[in-house]
Amino acid sequence: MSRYTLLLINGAILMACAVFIYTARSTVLTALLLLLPFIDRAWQAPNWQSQKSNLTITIILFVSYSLLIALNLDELYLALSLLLLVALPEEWFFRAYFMVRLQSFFKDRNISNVVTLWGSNITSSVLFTLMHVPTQGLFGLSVFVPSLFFGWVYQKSNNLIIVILLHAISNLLFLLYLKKLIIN
Amino acid sequence: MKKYINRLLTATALSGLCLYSATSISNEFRIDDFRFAMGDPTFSSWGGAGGAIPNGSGPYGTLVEGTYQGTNTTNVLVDFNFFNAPVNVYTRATNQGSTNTAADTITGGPAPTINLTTSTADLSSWFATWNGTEFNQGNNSNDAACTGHPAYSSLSPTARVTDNLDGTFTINWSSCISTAPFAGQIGFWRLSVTCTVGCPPSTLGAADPLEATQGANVTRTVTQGAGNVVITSSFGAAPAGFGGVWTNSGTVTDIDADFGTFTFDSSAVTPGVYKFTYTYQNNTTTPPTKGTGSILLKVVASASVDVLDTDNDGIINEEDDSALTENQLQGEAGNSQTYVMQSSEGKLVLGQTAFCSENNAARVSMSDITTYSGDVCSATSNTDDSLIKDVGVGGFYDFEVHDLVLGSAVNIVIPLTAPIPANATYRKYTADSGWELFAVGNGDALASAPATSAGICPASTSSAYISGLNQGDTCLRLTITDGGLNDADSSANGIIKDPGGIAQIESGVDATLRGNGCSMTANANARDHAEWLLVAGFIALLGWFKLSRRKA
Repeated sequence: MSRYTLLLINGAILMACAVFIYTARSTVLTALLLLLPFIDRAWQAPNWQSQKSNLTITIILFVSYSLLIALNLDELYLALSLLLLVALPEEWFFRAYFMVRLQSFFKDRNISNVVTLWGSNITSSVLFTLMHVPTQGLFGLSVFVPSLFFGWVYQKSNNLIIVILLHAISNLLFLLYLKKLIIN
Repeated sequence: MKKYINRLLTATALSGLCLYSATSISNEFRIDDFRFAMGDPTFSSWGGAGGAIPNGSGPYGTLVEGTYQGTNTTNVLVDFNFFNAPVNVYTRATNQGSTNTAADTITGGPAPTINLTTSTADLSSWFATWNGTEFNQGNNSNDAACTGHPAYSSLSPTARVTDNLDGTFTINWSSCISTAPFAGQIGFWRLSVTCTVGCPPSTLGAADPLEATQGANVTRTVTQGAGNVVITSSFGAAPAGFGGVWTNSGTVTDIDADFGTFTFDSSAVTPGVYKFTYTYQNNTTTPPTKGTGSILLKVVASASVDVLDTDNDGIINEEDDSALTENQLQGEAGNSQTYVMQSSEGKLVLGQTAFCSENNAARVSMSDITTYSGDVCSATSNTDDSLIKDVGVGGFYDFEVHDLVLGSAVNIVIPLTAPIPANATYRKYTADSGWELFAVGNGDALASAPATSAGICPASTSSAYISGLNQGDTCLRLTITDGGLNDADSSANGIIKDPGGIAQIESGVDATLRGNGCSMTANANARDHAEWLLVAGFIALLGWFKLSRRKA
């Protein structure tokens, strides 16, 4: 069995569970996103020591998110949900696991660095986008570009906390302000 | 003298009539308008040989700004002519006795007072002269000259204050004219004043669940010519310490004297739908509470079926089942066994659209909404919802929940006639705003569950309900807070109004209506907290790995 077989299996399992709409879909996806990476023994979890890099950016993002919450205290629960139930599992799987493993896959085949970085980013973003389509229809396709951005940030910073905060901030901004504008 | 004169209004020159309440709260009221009519308590058309009245100075009904309180040296109100002679009005006369003349002291008397607790005013020092002779018009000036006058015994010397609940008050009283040539005639007075200083605070009271009867029967469909119709406030006809004002969407006249009831002769009203609104103030509470109640009544020329509605839920007895409790309401016409809506609290009644569509059920169609959702069951033009792909998903439901604790949340269970589809959303309609999203949060929520059998849903408190609109479920549970985002009347008044229903939205705009920008749950209704446990477990796992590595 190739050392990348589990990467394929994990991706397939996730997509199989994401493509249908059912009662506990959200819970199942959360569990898979958080736990599937641990099955792949060839993958190394992010080194949390490295998270100390880019400390300034992390603090700025954290303060920004806190300010958003402070301005919308009624939405505290929503903000925490977006951070811990949405951004954390999705970034953990798609950036810290899937994209990183794909990078290894491309590197093992001596593919150029640019193609490795963009190839892994685009592939994981496609998967990320497909997961959103069943519940959000065509609008779900719009998450592709932000996903590429999150992937690029992770590749540049190697800091998962930064992309988790970025992801949560963008979702909260969308829900609190942009969505209302669209509806109105 | 049988020549009566129409209502007299004249300009007044006041900027601050200070009236002091009996509770020692210093309130000040500005007189906006006063009316005087002789022999006509309604101040309605009053013509006759007396000539055009008023025929003097001052435009009709105009307030002339000026000083009154504090100077007390001049007439408080500009003169107006009455039968071609001037009338002068003073408000602080020292002597209201029958010997009073124009030459008597007409200033320096007690200030008029208003008692908001008892809704009365003391205007005993209100004084008027006509052509140099006294009118003696204070509300306590029941002069001996009027004793024995036929109309005198029916008059109350009390000036009654009605709070219009918008900062203005109306004061009515009547008094006998004591001297010739009008001796023995009754002068009717109406003051319109605005509170300017120390305005009494008030709090929102519960909506008043009005009830209409024709004959002895409770009904919301009344038959023309079948007798008087009486609409009754839940507080009674004339409770002490209460004030009330009735309005209606037509020109229906209240023929009773009680302020807590509105009585009209059904033969004097043309068929149609009428909305009657009662605005009350309860002065027995501190601060006073103010609230409103309204009821829609259909007037029909003749009724082919029994149109009584004993439980006052909008469904006529003929189509209703008395076995249903007040927190139950038929979703489907004539079916009290299945598809029965239920609320966890309060009383379920039909909303306006459901009532006017005469479906005798809460479920309405888009056509009903278009035809009857406007003011007093008129048609509307903003019911097109381009975001709704399929409007036939279980129909729309138009209901109200009454008798709730103010500001409380209530669960309403709706057995749906069709399963919840993919891309489902709950859309709400109001004539003012058109279609809107059901707002989840701040205590309001959507949940669904499978039916236990066709048209039978789990109780509103059942754990079978899972947050969100879950595809395939046929039981919908709405949690709505009185006065919250999804209460169409936007007031924490003990009534929730929620016309709306399930709709399948166009997939292209899905996320703008129900998505959160992410694929997973991220709202106040995280499914059974399982996801939080997962995340907590995940973080614990990471911590354990880190510790393991350190040990290694």
